[in-house]
Amino acid sequence: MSATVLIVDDSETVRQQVGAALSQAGMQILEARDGNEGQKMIESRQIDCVICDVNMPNKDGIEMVRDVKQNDKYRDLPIIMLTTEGAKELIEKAKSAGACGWVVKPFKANLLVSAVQKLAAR
Amino acid sequence: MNQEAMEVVQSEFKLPLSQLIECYAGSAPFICQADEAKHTVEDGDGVLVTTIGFGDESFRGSLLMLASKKTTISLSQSNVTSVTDWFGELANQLAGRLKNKLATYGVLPQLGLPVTLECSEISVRSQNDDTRLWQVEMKNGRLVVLLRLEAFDHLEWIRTDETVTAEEGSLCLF
Repeated sequence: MSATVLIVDDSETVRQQVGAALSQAGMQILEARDGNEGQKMIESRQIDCVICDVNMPNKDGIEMVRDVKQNDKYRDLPIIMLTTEGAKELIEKAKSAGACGWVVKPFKANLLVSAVQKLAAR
Repeated sequence: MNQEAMEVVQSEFKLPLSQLIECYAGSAPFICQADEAKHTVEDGDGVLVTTIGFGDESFRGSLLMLASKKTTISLSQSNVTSVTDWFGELANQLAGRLKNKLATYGVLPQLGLPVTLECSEISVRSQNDDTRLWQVEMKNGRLVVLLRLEAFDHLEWIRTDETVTAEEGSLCLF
């Protein structure tokens, strides 16, 4: 069965770009526009991997990861941050919140696809 | 804005701007500083203006970009359904790259969210020491970037190697 990946990003264009790369690899795509929507979707759907932006309105990506990971049910859910930022301090913050990876935009589709395939298969 | 900090930003800004445009345009752009730039609608095409703010407790700044819709669409690697969203995302990626450069000086500003508007004609000017304007010429068209910084106190930004940043396009699994 193909993996279901949730893309959380306030940019419709980024959701499309990431979604196109992953769906070409046979994955099912779900989308959310901010951390609140993303969290609701994680709690209501069967999701194998999440790709999440950092800077978003309402609830940012790191806040969403922290809130989701407070529930033991999602302890093993892989969440990769996809952002324009690369500062060590922020990466450490995401790691402590429970994220399992960090990708700096513009992303390389082949790298992202193979990472998601690897994580979703765990 | 004190000159020292502006010089840091000015020297650190051109390379990320060039790299980002090259990544989406497919070839290196020609970038030059200017005092004034004007964009007017051509053949029914619209002009897009996007702006994003950033800052911390010691300074604040904003980045403004102008380009025609046609140029903006040509900078996308996929079919874009919302050209305003894509232009805002480009500004976000540029501001993120500037933030990564400033991180090497121990400065970590917060980024705002981009806001994009469409207009028929707009002109921008870099009149003061706190504003810089660049014209980016590409095979896909022309992009104008305006950067403004305002310091609350005297800033001394000294380069440090302590803050390591992840490279663009890189993927790191923890």
